[in-house]
Amino acid sequence: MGCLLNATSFDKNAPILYVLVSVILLVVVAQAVFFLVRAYRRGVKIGMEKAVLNKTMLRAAIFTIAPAMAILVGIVVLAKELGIPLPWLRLSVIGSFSYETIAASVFKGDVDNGTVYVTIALVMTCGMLVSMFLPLITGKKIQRGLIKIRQKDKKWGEIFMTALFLGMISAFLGYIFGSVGEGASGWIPVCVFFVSAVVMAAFGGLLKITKWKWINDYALPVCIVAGMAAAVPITMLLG
Amino acid sequence: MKKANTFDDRTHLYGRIWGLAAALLIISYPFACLVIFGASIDWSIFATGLSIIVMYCAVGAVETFTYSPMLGSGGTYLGFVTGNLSNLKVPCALNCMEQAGVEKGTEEAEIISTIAIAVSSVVTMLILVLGVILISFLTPLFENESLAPAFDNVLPALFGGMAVVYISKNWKIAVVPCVLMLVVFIVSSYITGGGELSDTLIGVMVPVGVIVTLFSSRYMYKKGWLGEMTPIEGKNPRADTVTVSEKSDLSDCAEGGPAAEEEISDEEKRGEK
Repeated sequence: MGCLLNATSFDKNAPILYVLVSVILLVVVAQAVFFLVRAYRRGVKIGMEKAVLNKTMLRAAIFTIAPAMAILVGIVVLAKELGIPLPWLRLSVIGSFSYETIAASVFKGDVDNGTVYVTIALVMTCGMLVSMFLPLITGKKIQRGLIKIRQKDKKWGEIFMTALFLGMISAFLGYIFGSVGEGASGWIPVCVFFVSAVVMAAFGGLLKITKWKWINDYALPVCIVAGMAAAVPITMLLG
Repeated sequence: MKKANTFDDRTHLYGRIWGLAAALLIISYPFACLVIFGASIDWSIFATGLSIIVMYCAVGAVETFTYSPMLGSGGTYLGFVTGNLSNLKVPCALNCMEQAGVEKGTEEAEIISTIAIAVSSVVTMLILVLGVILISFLTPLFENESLAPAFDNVLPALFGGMAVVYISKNWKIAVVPCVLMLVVFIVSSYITGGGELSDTLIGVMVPVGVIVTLFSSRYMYKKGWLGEMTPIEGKNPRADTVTVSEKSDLSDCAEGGPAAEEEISDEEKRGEK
């Protein structure tokens, strides 16, 4: 099979790469829409209120905006070395900014030929093999295990689920304090964390006083934006 | 071949089919580029990345066992394809379940989690497509040094708000893992004199945090110290009102009980209400 381009005409922003990435992302979007429609219909069937399901969609959309902007920044950063299509693909699907950055660093220098580009793309892909295939193998067993726990002892089943979430949150709480040893600048994420926490506490207080339920829909997204905005002056002060 | 009868069975079947298709497409990208550019693989560069691959495969395994129980069946299959789990999908699903007031582990929670992750995935894709189209306009903005701290601090901003909600409601369960994690990360930071180690540590400490929390809460539960605990799910006075019935518990789906059937009769629906 003849090559579409040769090594000397390598272009990390070649139009065909955009086409490839678009096709892959369209399939992923189709999967998301398929599960969305299926879950929505099932929710209606088992008697969940449509208003609750619609609100969930709105909340998820609003919640996503700020973190997605940060992911977009990741694409901009990686695009300098790798062009746009590869970071766009990696950060739209299974990848994460931290992993893709580390994987891209296996080659120091300008990515100016197809062999280097392909090898970096392969390293990025191989690192996520377990994340791609293991859930397909273990997903059913894990969910059935949880069901058994709940069947055995419902109260413990509830505590078990709560403990899972708190275990994750506690790890990220520690992570935020993981740079304090580098001096004043290491306290920036800690200050951002507390700004976000204080805003959330203020929303909680406001909700108690006013009973405005709609506050719930915007509390966490506003906390995220407030924390991110506060990071700018905090960095000027401590950075 | 065993027929997938229940909604839950079909979720696993469809999840595997879509997951496999997406995985094969994602894997095909480097090989398609290999053909397109007439390139080859530089095995010396690949060898440099082997340790990174092994480390992230281990992280992937740990994430699978940690996040799958939180996301439910549909959420897991979708979340692991669309990625950005800890910085977007898991907090998003958690927030939506909390706001909807559903009891985690039930079919309602599964539905809310799946909807949240699906919408979040589509919105992320749209924002990234727009960003890619407008990248030449956005690059100077995103490279602006004064704005950089905002985008560097998404995780603290996200978990600050979440911590208030979850820790305050379940402080008895939270106290042991939180103290442990603070000690581990702060000590490691002072030992290394920076935050480089914390980026590596977090992949390991999420499952450690989960295991420690499970053991400590099991101990407290056995001792009867969690008797008055208010789980974050189900008893949220701020949450929307949802019909949460015992019938729609996932356990029924597993056994192929009435609520597990794809089709639910009107009588059953009335019965639930």
